[in-house]
Amino acid sequence: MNVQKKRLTRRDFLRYAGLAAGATALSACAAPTPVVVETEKVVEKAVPQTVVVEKAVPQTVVVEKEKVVTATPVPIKKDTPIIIATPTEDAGLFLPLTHVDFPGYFLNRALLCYDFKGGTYDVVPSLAKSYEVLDNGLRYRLHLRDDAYYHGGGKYEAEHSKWYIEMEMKDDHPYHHLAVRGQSRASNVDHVEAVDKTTLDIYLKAVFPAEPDWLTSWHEWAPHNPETIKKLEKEIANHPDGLGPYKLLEWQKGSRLILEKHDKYWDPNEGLASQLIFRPVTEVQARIAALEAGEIHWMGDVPVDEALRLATNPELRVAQQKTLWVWFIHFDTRKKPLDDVRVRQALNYAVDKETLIKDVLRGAAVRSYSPLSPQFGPYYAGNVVRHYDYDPQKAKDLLAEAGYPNGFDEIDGQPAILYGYSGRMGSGKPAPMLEFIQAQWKAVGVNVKIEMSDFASFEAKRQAGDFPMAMRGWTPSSADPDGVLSQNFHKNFLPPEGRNVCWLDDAEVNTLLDTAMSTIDMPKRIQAMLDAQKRIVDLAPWLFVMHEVAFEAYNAKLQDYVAWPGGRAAGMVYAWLKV
Amino acid sequence: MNLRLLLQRLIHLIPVLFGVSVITFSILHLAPGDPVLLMVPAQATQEEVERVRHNLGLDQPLPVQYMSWIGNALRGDLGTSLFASQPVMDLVLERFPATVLLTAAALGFALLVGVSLGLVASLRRDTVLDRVTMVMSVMGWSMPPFWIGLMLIIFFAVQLRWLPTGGMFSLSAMKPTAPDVAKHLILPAFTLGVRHMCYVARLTRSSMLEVLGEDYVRTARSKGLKERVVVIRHALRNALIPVVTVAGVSVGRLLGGAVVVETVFGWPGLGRLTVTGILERDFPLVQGTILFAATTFVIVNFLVDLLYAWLDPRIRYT
Repeated sequence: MNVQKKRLTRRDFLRYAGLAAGATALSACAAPTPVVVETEKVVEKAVPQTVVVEKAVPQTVVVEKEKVVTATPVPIKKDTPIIIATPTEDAGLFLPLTHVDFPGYFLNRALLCYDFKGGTYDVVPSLAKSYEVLDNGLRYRLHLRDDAYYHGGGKYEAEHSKWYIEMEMKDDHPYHHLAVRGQSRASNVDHVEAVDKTTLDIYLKAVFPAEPDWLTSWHEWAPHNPETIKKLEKEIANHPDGLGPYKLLEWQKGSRLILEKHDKYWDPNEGLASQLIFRPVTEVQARIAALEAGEIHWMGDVPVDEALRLATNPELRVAQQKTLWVWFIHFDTRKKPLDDVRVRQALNYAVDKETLIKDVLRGAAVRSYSPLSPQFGPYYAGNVVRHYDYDPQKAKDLLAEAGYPNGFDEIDGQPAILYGYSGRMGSGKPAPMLEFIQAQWKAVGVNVKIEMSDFASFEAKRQAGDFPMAMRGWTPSSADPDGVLSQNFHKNFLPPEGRNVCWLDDAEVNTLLDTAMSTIDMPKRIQAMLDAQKRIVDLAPWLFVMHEVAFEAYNAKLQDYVAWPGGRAAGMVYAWLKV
Repeated sequence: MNLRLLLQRLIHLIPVLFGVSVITFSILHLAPGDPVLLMVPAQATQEEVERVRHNLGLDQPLPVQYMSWIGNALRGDLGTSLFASQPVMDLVLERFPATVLLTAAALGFALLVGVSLGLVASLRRDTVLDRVTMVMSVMGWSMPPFWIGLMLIIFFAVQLRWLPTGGMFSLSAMKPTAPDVAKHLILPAFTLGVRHMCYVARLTRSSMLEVLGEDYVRTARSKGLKERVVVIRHALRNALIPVVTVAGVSVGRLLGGAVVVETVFGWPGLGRLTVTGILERDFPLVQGTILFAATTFVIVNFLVDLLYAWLDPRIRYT
């Protein structure tokens, strides 16, 4: 048979190219297959080492939790520096009472500390070996270590903590001007007394059961040597003299910040690696590339899609933590029709939270039933509050009952706008999430427009109470539930003083939160917090959506690293590199 | 150019810079967003917010704040960064050399490669080489720099591991060395310069084609000069005048582009500092960096004006 080789004509070429382009376009248009349907599967697959332990019940009156220091000496495995990528520009600021970024967890030690080794929010000893709650909760007596030394060699004593706390509290303190960024965690302190070198009494103005959590803060309660502050004044920002397991060796701004082991640190189990090097890499894809290339050993805030991919790389490990974070949409309960509880409940019933988490967030979240995430342990109310399971018919019925049988598209006579922000970490995927919610509300007749802005503009408007409805991610600055509940729902926090931007002023909620914040009887406090959440969820001032699951990725050579739910590589004090 | 004229032109720069300072200051302060709210913790009370605002001097009327800032700026004090609590001038001077290095490398690359490609394309007009060069230059001009940067990182740093993913020098090196910095410079400089290189290539080509048709080139050829001399000495020198103009403007574009490239490559320059400042509404920092960058840009353009006279004997400032 005479077989003639057919020549590829220009027309054939164009035909094949068209077919190929069409196929590519079709495959691109196909619905993305979620890789993970259940969050738990991620844990098993990606993070064999991660232990998620929920917060234990706080102790009531006297806590004598001594950190057990093992008798066997820790083998020295310290020669290789660990390189940590930070998403923030300068990888740290050390001015007293300022916000402390990543390096603060290694340079400073507060009076108490969260349990980085256990990867939980349990409060454990730090500068204070133990504490007592006296005078019915009005006085905290802290028994301090006598073996804590500053990086410069000075010995720490109770008087230093008093001086440091008063630096913020007292306007006439000679170094008060250094505490420019007022922090509020000393605002409930009446006065401080150094009883002797190792005993510190903190007198409160009123009972404040969240005090132990607040004493873990790196701001007011993590002193730097007063003598060094007096000598250097503002320059202390470049030459911190703290008490943590690592001290500053070199800081080339924008390039690297090197910490080295502090030899006089009290706990030989902390600070195993000889050096920690922080490298600022602001772009997330660049951080991932650096991790894959082996240039860095750890990074946080890994987007879920990337986390799933990185988990298949044998040279890397991916850890996930369930966080305190809550993502919600808040409603201004004064504005029509959001002033009607049935409308707010309808908006909750209209959204399929499970599908949103599965499809938009690819499973990287936990559904939110109340403002508090399961990480709040005994305060978690997911099992006792009303569940707004997806029920569009019920949503329509409630809207009809409230006088809106066809839904609504205006709030207080203005077009209904759902405000959001982008470009801030820990906010899920704001735009697609808002679009999902917008579509589901539309299905029950509620038409809203979405308006996005950057976080700074958004927060200024939100604080002014300008938004009838807006998204927000919220994480409290301590693991006490008060940081979520009172801040967002108590009448004392109405704008402009506070951030209760749903303008909720409910007598029952106020009383329950007052009870919870004025007792040191823990069972009573927990019950009040649970009851407050029940009432808040019934009132539906938020659309309750999700609690974020955060991902970290690190080099497989990193040993003994425990991911802490607060992130920021805090567990790195126990880690070392196997080479 | 005589000295009096030089001084006159320098004086003209003053209103330009004054305008820049007013615009920068106003835009930042009129934009929504309050640095104090970003600075204090979520649970801060209104009283504490006001206290911080007062401590930072942000409770003063805007004209008072402006006068105080510009007065200090004239004495070389750009204020103190709200977040880093350091003098802005120190922060800017720390970062400026890195940006200058990156911009200069990108500009050098863009001019050297762009002029060469444009020259070759013009001399081989309508050949395959010319077509390929021009198609590639359109593609290069159309691709967004952050995408090019990420692709280069994935290919050369993650897959091949020939070059580092970012930073300015190896983290483990105690002291940065020139070869180390050069290795780190390749990808960001290419990323920053590639669009300008493409533009310069196209501009050189069209400019050369125009000049090659001029009478004086024909005269040069008819004098029996070698083709190399005709092209380099007679044609290229004149064809480069628009390229020089573009190079001056490019400095501004490159300084702007450096913001993206520095972010992608973790290059410790002024651009990244500005972005951080903008996101945190760190007014003094952003005002300082922009004023500094604008001054640099204005001075570069002034120098480019001087360069014309040297390149083109027809241009004389009188």
